[in-house]
Amino acid sequence: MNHGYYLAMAYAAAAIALVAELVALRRARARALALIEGERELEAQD
Amino acid sequence: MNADKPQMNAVKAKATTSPLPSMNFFHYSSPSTFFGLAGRLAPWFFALAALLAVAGLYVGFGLAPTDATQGEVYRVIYLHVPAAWMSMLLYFVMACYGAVAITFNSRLSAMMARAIAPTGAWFTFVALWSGAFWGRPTWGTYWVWDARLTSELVLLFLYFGFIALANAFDDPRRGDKAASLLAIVGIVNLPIIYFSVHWWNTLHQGSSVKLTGTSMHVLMLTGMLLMTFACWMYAIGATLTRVRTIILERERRTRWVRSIAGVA
Amino acid sequence: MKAVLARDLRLAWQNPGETLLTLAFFVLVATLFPLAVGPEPDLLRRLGPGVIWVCALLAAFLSLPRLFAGDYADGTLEQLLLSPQPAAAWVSGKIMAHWIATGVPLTLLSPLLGLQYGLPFEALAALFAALALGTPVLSLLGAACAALSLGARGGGMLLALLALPLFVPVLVFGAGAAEAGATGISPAAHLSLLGAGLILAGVGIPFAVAAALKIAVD
Repeated sequence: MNHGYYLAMAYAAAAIALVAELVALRRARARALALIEGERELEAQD
Repeated sequence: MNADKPQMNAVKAKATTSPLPSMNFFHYSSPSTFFGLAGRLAPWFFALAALLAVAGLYVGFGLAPTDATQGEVYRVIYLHVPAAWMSMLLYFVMACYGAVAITFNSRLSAMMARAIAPTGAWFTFVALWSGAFWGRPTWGTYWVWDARLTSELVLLFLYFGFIALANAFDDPRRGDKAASLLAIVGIVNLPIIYFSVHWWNTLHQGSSVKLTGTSMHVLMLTGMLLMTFACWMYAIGATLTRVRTIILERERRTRWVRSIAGVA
Repeated sequence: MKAVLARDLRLAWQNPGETLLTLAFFVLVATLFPLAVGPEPDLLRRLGPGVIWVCALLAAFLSLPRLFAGDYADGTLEQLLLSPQPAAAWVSGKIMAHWIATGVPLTLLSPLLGLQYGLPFEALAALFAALALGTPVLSLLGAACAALSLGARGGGMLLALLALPLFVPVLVFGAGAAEAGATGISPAAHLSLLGAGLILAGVGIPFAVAAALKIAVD
């Protein structure tokens, strides 16, 4: 009864989800800061 | 189950400024003050989550015995049950924030609801996926259209629907309100998920953990509870982190964000 | 509420094109399936309820965008919301009109469609009852999704994302009732669930729709 495969698949998916969410959080923050910088520059040009 | 996170009491207060400036209760209900609080708290929640996860997995894999009927594969329970509980708890909290957002026209509450949604969706996905890989060796199938699994899948789509609806309008406030209403309407799904194993003969096993006691081995239960708290702490940390980004975007025209962005 | 119901029904009657076309389309689909899949009776008997239910789902879904869009565009919606009558009342009228135009015809035709699949009498009866209880729920849930996504970007796809997952439990229990009827088990459990869902939705959804429309119009 090799149940290791099923255990591994389940926990691996969770690990991937964890990493994906943390990466997404970082990138969203970077995007927000870039957006603010961009708008600040646009206003500075006016 | 006490669903209150520590900062929720402060946030659930009215967003309009109180006539009594000495009341700290309302202090954190504005995005600018909450931004700082969330930033200070989030790392602690992540650290706590990591600690509890290590403890939970150690107890669950290292100390708890092998199951008599299922062998080793039952150990998915340390992931599947916490994820499923979190998927429901987070939806409930999200709907509560939505209700506050609509009733009190609170911007921050709407932002918190938006912050919870992706995390909730991830937990729902993990619950479904881990459940499928638990079902295959034990029931013989990855999926069955019984009440509990179907409702959990509907929950996943409710999260997706919330996120899509919130972002479907040019006016973010309209998205806030529409998505909050959707969350409130969808809350009917939670009792269906929870009680489905009592109401119908389904393939999914009934609850082994009730308020009156449990039929589980104590070490298995300990591992499961530790993992549940780990997931809970992680969810709070992730939500606080995400809401900071949402605040930055939504309040980007304000002076305080402009000054922060230069430093951050 | 009666006024809005009457008005919508009159509109549907005067422009029968879209309604009849949708209906005809699904009757055709339900009829074509046995021809395409082949005459094997067991296979057809198993497919029948599911196919007919999917047709009911799609018939309800495809007419949803029109439910509020016309009134939203020409300002009638704002007028209705400003009226002294509670919004939930005339909303119920609108939803009922939608059901009468989509769900009722399909329900009435379902015994005939079911015969093409060789369904036994008990299954036909169960299917009819299930559709009678379930199609109003589809109209109610669909109306809520239509109201929430009124004027949103991504229109049809967003509506599908919101509505179809909510339709799924109705589909599962509705088709399950007919299958129970076919295999001899009592469909009472499925039907009572659909009935409970109908009561819950009938009481709660109109208020949710009214709230959603107010959000859309503000």
